[in-house]
Amino acid sequence: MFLGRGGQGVVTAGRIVAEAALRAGLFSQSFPEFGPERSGAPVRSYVRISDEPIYTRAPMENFDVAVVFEERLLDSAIMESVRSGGIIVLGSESTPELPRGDIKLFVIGARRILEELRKPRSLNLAMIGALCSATKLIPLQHVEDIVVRRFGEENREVVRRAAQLVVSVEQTA
Amino acid sequence: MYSLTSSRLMTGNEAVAYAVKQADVDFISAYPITPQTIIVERLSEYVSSGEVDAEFVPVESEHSALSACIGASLTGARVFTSTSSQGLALMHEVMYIASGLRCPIVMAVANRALSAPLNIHGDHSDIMGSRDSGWVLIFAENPQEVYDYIIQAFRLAEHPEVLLPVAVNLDGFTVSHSSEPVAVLEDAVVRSYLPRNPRPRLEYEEPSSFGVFALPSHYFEFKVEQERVLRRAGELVEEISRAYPNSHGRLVKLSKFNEDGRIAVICMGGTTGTVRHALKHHGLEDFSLISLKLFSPFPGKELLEALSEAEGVVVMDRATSPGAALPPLASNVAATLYEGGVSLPLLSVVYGLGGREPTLKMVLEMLDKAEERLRARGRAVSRMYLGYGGGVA
Repeated sequence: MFLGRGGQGVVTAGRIVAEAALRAGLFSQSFPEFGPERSGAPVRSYVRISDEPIYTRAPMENFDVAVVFEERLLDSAIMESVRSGGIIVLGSESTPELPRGDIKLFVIGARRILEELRKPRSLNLAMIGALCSATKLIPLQHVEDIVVRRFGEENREVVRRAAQLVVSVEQTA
Repeated sequence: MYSLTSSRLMTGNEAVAYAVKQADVDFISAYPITPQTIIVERLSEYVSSGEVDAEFVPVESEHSALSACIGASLTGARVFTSTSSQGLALMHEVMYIASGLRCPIVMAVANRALSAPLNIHGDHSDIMGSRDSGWVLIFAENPQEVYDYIIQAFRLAEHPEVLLPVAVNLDGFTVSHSSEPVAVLEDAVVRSYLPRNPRPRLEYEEPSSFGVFALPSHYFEFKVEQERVLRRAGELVEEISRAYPNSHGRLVKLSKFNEDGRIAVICMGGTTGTVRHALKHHGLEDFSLISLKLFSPFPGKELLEALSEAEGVVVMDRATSPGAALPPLASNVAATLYEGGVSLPLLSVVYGLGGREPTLKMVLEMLDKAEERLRARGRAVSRMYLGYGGGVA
């Protein structure tokens, strides 16, 4: 599940990951949170990835991985909806404590990367780069290829650097 | 067969537009604003970039869109349009004219709820309001089926023995806006599957009349003949789908899953996938699933065959039919059973109105309660509202 704000490319992020999974020979499905979209309001998109055909079209209530674009969006409802053993990839410049010890937290200082690379609108691409490293669900190379094709060569570095700089945060809870 | 195809990620909307592009349509007309989908936006891009050599006529209403399609179709053109919800309701009057004039128009309907209250989300209320308009009505479960069925819809519509409009239905949002891998055919393969058949049409050199006045002396015969032709379209489904180059994507009237299950669940559209998932991953061997692809003409004979071993039937409708004995699909199933002299307990389930998508938990709860309801006090018919008030009612 991707959680960000309207205008940050949350739906596009889901679509890129689903496409990368397809290139990796997996089955995938991606869909936005249905309804009116408002710039700046919290927006979700969802991705299912499987090594067998995906039939279900049920709304997703629980996730193996939540990619949260900014720390202010990480509320208790999100935290509870991540399955035990799951992963949260968080866009943040600090390293917060999670109230749950059974999920893994990865943090990516995405804002700094975007500032350094002068790509302020590529937050979604940084989050996907971090997701690739944190979960190993999809090969970084496929994501890079898709990103370069859709958004140009200059965004390759956003994905790469986020993949390099994402850190695992030890949870003590 | 895979050498003919390649897979790419597409939403249901994109799958429609891509199929229409490959079908080499001559004419597209649509109302380009809400409740329209990305379908016509993509098509307008294809037309402006020259990828499709078609006239694209944006109009001021859906009533005009379908009217323009009829005019174009009568000149012999291959014609497409799409709409949703209120847009389809506004087309209602013209749908009868399209079928009565035997126009082989193909339309995609991203099924969405009708107002009031205002709601933009998915259900089948729109198309069910026009189910007696004499169109062939096909329901697709996922973007792959959407792609395959749009192409086959042109072949069926234009079959010389048919010449009727076909609507391919895809659930609003859950299919129309969901991205999934879609195996597509080569352009040339689609072109050769869709040859241009000569048909009666308007020509300067040989003037003819369409849309004639039929008084009581003739009107009745027109309508009965139209019904007979619609039935014939059902008989021809196998012929046109057998020729479809991707054998995995052939249009069938219905498909069965878990064939040995004692209780048959009948469903149409995207939610069929969720039921399939529930049966597969939760070991529910007591249930079979019948995914109905062809709603009109209703495949009664095939359904009776599919139900020959069933001990009960659960019929899932994504529309209500207020004041009627049963909602649309259940009503057709019940009539089919009655006609076949089959007495089976039937549970009519209404679900998903206005976008209340069934969760896996809801589907499991429905299946859990189904047997008990089917056996309740020996009643032939029982009813359930799935997801109403957050549970099973």
